[in-house]
Amino acid sequence: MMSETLNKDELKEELFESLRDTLETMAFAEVLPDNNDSLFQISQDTEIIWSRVAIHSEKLKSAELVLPLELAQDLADTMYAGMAPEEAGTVFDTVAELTNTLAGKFMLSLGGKAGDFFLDVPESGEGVPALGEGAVVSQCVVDEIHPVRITLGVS
Amino acid sequence: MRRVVIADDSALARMFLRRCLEITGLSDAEFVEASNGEEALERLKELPADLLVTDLTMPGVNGIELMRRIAASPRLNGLPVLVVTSAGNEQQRAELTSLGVAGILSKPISPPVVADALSGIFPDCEV
Repeated sequence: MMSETLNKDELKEELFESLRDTLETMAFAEVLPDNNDSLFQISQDTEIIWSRVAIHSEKLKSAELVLPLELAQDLADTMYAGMAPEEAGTVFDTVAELTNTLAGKFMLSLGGKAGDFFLDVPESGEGVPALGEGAVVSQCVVDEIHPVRITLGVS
Repeated sequence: MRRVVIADDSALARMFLRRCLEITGLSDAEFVEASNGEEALERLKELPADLLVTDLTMPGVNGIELMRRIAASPRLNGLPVLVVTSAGNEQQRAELTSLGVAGILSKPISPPVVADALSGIFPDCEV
């Protein structure tokens, strides 16, 4: 159970702001809120990937980023200035680093509310992961067309 | 020419750090990359470096352990170190400070933040 000091709406807002700042700073991407569950309305042919970082803290346990592979490739191309290595792991490494960055930014944005914390090395995969019980979900649209989901696992 | 070792398990993060350093005064530096703390120590032992920029969360020898080993090494103690991290709780920051790091920067980093940190290490650095 979350305490009163970790309000779910505030967490959603901070998740969104952390993603927006991370993508704007690192990839010059435009991030807008999305209240339409767009991630689950796109074509089933769309390839989806995810990255998750475990958070070791009293109240929060993970942050997860879920996005279309095409967007991840676009972000990698932008950040590498069109010179992204042609290696299979490049896109996953990109999404993992974005997840790691936004998770740290998010936790720092909470100040002392979430208690002391540290992060694990992120893991990544393909598909849309199931939502855990009590998960806090924030959804957004990147560069006008790509739906993105950020999920916070709570203890 | 200055020699800079960048330690981060993410290739993207290493590239991003290198680009920030290049445009904030270290455009002519030699950059050497390492994907964890152990590799960073190997690179530092091969040739003297002027700066180490390291992540905290890495597989194997992480940033904290790397700093402990540097602080304990008569040859490496005194090397300017910038820690760039997504994590960094108060306890870790206190330990890093006691180990002598020159600065702790939170991701996502930006060139102005890096330039500010470099100005304290290399006063002659010009953007």
